[in-house]
Amino acid sequence: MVKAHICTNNLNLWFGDNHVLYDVSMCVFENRITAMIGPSGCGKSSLLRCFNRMNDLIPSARIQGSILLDEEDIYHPKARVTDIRTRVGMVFQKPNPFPKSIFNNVAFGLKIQGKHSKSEIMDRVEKSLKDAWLWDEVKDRLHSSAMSLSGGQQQRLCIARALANGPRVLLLDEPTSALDPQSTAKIEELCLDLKSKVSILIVTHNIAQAGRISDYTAFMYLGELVEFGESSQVFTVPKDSRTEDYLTGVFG
Amino acid sequence: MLNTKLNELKRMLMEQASLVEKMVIISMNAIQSGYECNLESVMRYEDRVNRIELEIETYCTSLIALYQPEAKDLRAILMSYKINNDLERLADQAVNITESANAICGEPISEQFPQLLDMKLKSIAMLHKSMSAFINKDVALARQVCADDNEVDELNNSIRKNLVILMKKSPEFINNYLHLLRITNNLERIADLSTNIAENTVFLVEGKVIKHHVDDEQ
Repeated sequence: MVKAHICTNNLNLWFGDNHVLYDVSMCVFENRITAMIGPSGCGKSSLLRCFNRMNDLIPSARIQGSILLDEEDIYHPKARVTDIRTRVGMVFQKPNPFPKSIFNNVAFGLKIQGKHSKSEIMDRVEKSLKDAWLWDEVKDRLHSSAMSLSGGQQQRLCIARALANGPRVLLLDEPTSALDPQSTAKIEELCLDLKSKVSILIVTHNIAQAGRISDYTAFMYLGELVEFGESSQVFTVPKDSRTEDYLTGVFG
Repeated sequence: MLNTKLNELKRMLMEQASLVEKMVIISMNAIQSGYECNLESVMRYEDRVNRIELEIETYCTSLIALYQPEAKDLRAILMSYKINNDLERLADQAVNITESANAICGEPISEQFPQLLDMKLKSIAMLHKSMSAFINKDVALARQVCADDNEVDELNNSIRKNLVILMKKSPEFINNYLHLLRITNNLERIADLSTNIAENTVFLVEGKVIKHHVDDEQ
């Protein structure tokens, strides 16, 4: 039985007077990949950023409704944002390693938490790099600058950095749109491998990618969650005609 | 990624083919002496075949929608879809044979037609070989199946001629002879559908259309 891992309930989001999300209710299931698709400006990334409170950084952002992570409201006044971001990791469109060594990029989160021993950090860095399929390529140059890595390697480093904190959910915001086809294929296969460890929510403009790797697909349009279901169903017999039109290239 | 799914599709088709083969064998055994006339198992198999047919159809549709396959992957899915359809039709032929076999079960009629055993063995062998060719992408075997079809056609014609003579000679047995005619026609269809599977295998592997003798014209 598939377990809901993180769920939104009637989520509304405003940036100032601009109402960008309308009553969104959906779940990301445990150890499954959920893809969010939809035309530019439909609110996919804004919704994604709600899942680890990244929108808190925008002063005009206002939220209504709730998001439950393992049945705990992440917008509860007493919820600790750093704790939430540890449990819900995020990787962005453009690889954004810190201008530090490969090792220190992955160790960064652990070091600022200040509760791990040196050997523990060593072990976690190695494990995270292995889980992100990067270890073999960098094990002999862990103290080189992360900026010396290729784009695909940098993106896997960012995934390793997120994994080091032991997240339960991984948010990926168009993680392959800046990568070549080979690096893209590697990230996709990596996602399939990682889903046994974390639940994944991925925003993508690449419909084919959503089909290839996701178990569930959410289609968003004009701030509304139009359709959510198993990818095999959404991609073959979508329930809403707008989903059908988007998938067949009528708009978007 | 898609490879694992294609292997699963192959597994589903193999399961389906083995059920269909069993159905044909049980139904044909019933018209030979020394075998039981109980044919309920054929009907039970048919229910499973129908269910698996729908599962394979849905699976193929999902694979196309989710993975947007190209080249040999696309051919593999399209041919699997067609072969799935052929297998379901083959199960129907087995049911037709079963119905007629039930009607003449225990009658010594089939012993008057030594070619019938030959036709049965050849048709079943064609079905078996066509699926082996598909699973192993064995084009030589597939082409051999296509050639074998002529032999089954000839056997069918020969039995039909004999039946016409016997119907005139012993009209009191006409009911039995009509059932036998139905059985041989269905065996001939089994050979035809096996040929379809073989032709689709050649298209899968080589991308060449050999049905309707298209390649002879090129």
